[in-house]
Amino acid sequence: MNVVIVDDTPTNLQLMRALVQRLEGCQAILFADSGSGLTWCLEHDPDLIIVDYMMPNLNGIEFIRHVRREPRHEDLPILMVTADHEKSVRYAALEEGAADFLNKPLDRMEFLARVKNMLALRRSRQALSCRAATLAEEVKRAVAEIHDRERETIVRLARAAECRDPETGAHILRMAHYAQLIAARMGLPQDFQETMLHAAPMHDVGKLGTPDHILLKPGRHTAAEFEIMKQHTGIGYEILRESSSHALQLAASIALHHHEKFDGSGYPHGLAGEAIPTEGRIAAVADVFDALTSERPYKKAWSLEDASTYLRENRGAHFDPVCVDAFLDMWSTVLDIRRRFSDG
Amino acid sequence: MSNEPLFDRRALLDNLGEDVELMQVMAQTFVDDTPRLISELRDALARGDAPDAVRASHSVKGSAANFGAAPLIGVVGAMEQACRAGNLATASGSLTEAERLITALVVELRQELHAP
Repeated sequence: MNVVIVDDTPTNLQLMRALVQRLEGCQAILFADSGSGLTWCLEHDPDLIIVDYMMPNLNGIEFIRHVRREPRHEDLPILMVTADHEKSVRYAALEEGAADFLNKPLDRMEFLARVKNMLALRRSRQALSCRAATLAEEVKRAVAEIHDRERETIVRLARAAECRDPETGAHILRMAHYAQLIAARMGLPQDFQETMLHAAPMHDVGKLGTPDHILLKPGRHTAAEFEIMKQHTGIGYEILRESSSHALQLAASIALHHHEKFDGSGYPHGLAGEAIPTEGRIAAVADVFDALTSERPYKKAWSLEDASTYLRENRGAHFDPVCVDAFLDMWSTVLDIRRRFSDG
Repeated sequence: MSNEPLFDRRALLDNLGEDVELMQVMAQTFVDDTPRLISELRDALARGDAPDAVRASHSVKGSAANFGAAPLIGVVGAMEQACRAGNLATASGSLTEAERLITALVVELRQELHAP
């Protein structure tokens, strides 16, 4: 371990060096000048500093203050060499972060005992912070694993829903990427954007509960059939709600709210404006745009231009204007996403 | 001058846990460095530089204290006090005595270096 000794009195310096070098595994690094001692300490990682109080240029208290300003040296033990009677100096040194004192003239027994104590303290602090770092690393890995499994569950659940849905897997991926894109452009937090990407694919999971003769009916739904169709929002919410996972909580909200309209004319609750959660307003734009530009058994795909005009015309009616603007602002990325996830 | 011993060999060895080798390390350092310290003190006094004179006398006193060199501690301790009070003339008056004591102490400590 490196013991730095800063003292302008040569006999003290040499005596302390001789004593430190008798301790196993310790080497003394000597500075007669406090300024060069400080420079060295700020650039290196000493294990213990022993510093005299009265020195030209920088005295011991100023020295300690400068060392403590370095965040790495917050816990570094520092011993100050003072005479017994210098009480006010001792108080000031304690205030600046000295751990203990060495009396002048130096006494071999006292010196070795204090230095050993300080080095033992240093070792246990290092062991502790090393252990803390290892634990933090393990926790991080475990959490990442949990997240991965959670995502996998979500993907599999979305895949189950796809089996019953005439809409394609590519639609789900495009819609999720559009949703993430809108959230990013709106300046929402990074982890919310990420979660949107993973949660949005489940927006139609409630269609698992829609009877086949209605879900797969080729023609137009009757009013009664449409009422049943609308229930997929609430069914999706029931499947996903009350999860402890953030992604599933968000997915539940998206499932419930993605058919709400900004002017209050949507379903299931007819919420309007900001009463519709942000994720619902975002999902509405992403879902409708992709539905319009995709071919379905009952309709042809709209052109990109027609679809964007539709968004613009329904800005503030069906859609939150902020979400529409965010989406149209990122038009070239929208085109990239369409290319990446084509129905092929 | 009195017959007071120049340094307290007993107290020194006590402090060093009877370690003669350590005592020799310190004696050698004193012999090598103290003449330089006292000339720094002399220069500071000649320049009228009170802060430097305080530090130099403090440093000589610290070295002397390691050896329990009571006569030298007495003289340079008083010089330090005088310098702190800005009384450099008083301090300068003791300079010759301090130098005499240091020279004598150096002679004695040299003998320790040749001790078995």
